[in-house]
Amino acid sequence: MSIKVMSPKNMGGQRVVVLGASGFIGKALATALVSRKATLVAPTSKELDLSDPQSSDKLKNLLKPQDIVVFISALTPDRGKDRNTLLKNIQMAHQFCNGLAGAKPAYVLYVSSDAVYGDQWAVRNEDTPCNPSSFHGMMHCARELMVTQLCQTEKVSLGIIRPVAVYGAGDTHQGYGPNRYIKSARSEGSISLFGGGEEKRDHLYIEDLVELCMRCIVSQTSGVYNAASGTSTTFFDVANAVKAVFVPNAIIKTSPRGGPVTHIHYDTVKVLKTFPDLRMSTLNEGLTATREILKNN
Amino acid sequence: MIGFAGLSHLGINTSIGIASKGFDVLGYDANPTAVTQLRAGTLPVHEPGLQECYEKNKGHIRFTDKLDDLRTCEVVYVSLDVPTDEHNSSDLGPIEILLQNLATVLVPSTTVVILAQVKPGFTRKMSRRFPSLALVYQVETLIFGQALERVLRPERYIIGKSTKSRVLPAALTKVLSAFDCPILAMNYESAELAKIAINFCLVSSISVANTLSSVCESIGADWADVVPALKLDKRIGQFAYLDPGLGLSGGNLERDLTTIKVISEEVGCRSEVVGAWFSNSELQRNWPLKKLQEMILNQGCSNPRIGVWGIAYKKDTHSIKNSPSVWLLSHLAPHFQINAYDPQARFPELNPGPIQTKTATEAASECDVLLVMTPWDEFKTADLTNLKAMMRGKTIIDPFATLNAQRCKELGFEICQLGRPSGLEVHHEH
Repeated sequence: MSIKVMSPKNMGGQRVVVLGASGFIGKALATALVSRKATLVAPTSKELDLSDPQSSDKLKNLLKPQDIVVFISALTPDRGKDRNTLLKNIQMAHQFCNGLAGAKPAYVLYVSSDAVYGDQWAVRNEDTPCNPSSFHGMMHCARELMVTQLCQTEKVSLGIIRPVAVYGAGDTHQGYGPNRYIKSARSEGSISLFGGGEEKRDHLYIEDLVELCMRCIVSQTSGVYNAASGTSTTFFDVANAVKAVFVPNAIIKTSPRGGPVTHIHYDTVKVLKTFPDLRMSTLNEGLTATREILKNN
Repeated sequence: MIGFAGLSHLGINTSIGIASKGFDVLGYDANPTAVTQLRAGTLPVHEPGLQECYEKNKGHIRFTDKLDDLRTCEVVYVSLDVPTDEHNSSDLGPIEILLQNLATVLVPSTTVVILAQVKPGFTRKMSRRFPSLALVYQVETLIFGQALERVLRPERYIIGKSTKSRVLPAALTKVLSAFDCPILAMNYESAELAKIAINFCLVSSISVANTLSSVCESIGADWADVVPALKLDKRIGQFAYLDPGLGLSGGNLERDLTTIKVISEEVGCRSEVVGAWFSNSELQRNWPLKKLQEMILNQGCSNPRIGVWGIAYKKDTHSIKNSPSVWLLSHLAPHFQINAYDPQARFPELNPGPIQTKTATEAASECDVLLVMTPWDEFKTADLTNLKAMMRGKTIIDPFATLNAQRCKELGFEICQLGRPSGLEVHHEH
């Protein structure tokens, strides 16, 4: 079986195995793959639970040579931030690697997180050293290394994407930022900020992340890429943008500041160099698109 | 007779400059074809005033491809090019071989001056390896585009001797004294480091300019207004190098930073600042690409026709060593149609690559955006009214402020320059 001839719009039936297709990012990516005529293989956690020590055998039986494999499955911080969660996540990667060994995939894409950078760096690019300050970040660092070493041994192209905070209609985590603001504005008519919302952060619309993943998959681009919009906005401005798009009369509540103000920016030139025609949505564009989807559902 | 072993850019300019002071000069190169061309009066390098100076003084200059002919010289300059690899490391092998060969033909009274850029410790190592050679080290201060000028009117000579107290050979002193400038004599290692120290100070200054000009763009300040205030501070000085750029290029600065980084690692000195400067350089290199994204690609023009003025790493040279323009074009060429022009430099063969035009007009014609990547004087005097008429778009990315921004804006261009507030309202919608 050989890799299909693919274009960004038509993957010609290429098999793509997505582990973690029920999550926010996985579901959006799976939808895109199907719409672009990939043959999607997306086992549920009941069918393939990577925390199960037997799962590597199941994965081995599932995979065919020249498959493209996307590894997203993880226990996210809303499901645990402790050592147990760290160990479970690493165990999942261990099973993944055992299952992948010898399977001869054409390409592997690992969806990591910007949590690998920790809190130290105000301006980041792909060369910024990883210095995680959370178990979540540490988990992704360890998993990146595990998958990298395996792919080097197996001589398989590997792409690693580190998204910033992602927002959109299908979010299930309600992390602090646009997703939580949208929910609380719609349900409670208010948005609560930590401090005055002075910190600047980058937020990425889900469909932009999906598009970057698709570009990497279709071109089998290897290397690490930060997935960010390239524009960092204060939480205060994000709240106002959510208010303007969703609930114009929502109340924005500030609170006493608990710590120093820190800012985080992403230099996205590596994505720009690799995919110069890939344009990320502005915050307003992403929020407006999210509103339209929520309206129609 | 003053000899030159190695007719590089440096060797040719220095030999002609010394001949202009009335000295008889013998230039040696192992390449017989190069020697034949030189004998015919064809200079392989271009520098302002060089051809004229040669014509005026060719009665004092001979060329040879026979190493033995250098035996008659009282002073022999070793003036080979020192190539650097992609890791900015120098290859000093050819100099070692040349010194070995010179040791077999020269008499002990001949002073051998290493005029090439070498690592600290090199001259001492060579003096031990070839004890028959009376070695001296001289810092070279070649700047492409100003090479002859810097030979004829040096700011100072920095000379390295085996010991600081050793007296300079009379024949060499006679040559140096003809140029009427201070002669700073020190030991080998101090002189070798002096050249690197000069470049370190330059890089430091450039990095300050890069960092602060970037801040200027973000906060609405104008770096061009800040610089005069700095230059009037005696601790900084009127000749301080404070123009922001697109990263280190040309090879020499990068090489010297790498040399100190390597030495520091060997001897246990801290040199993290070198890494910071390299990072700063790399970030600056991305500036035109980011501006292209901000002003064109994110504004609905997803397939722009791009015009580029300038391919060389700086003006008045054909060299493209670490050229920011070449770097930019190699990333853009696979995705966009590009017409590029340079008065001297040639873009390397690339498929796909930009179309290299014969004139600046051709490169700018019908383009959506013009990038002025090398500040050639010919671009400074371009007819901006004509430019506006021939371009399809109105965007100019002019990192080196080659064009008159005020005039461009009056004509309706949107122009951005390093360190200047663009005046372009880029909407980050909320």
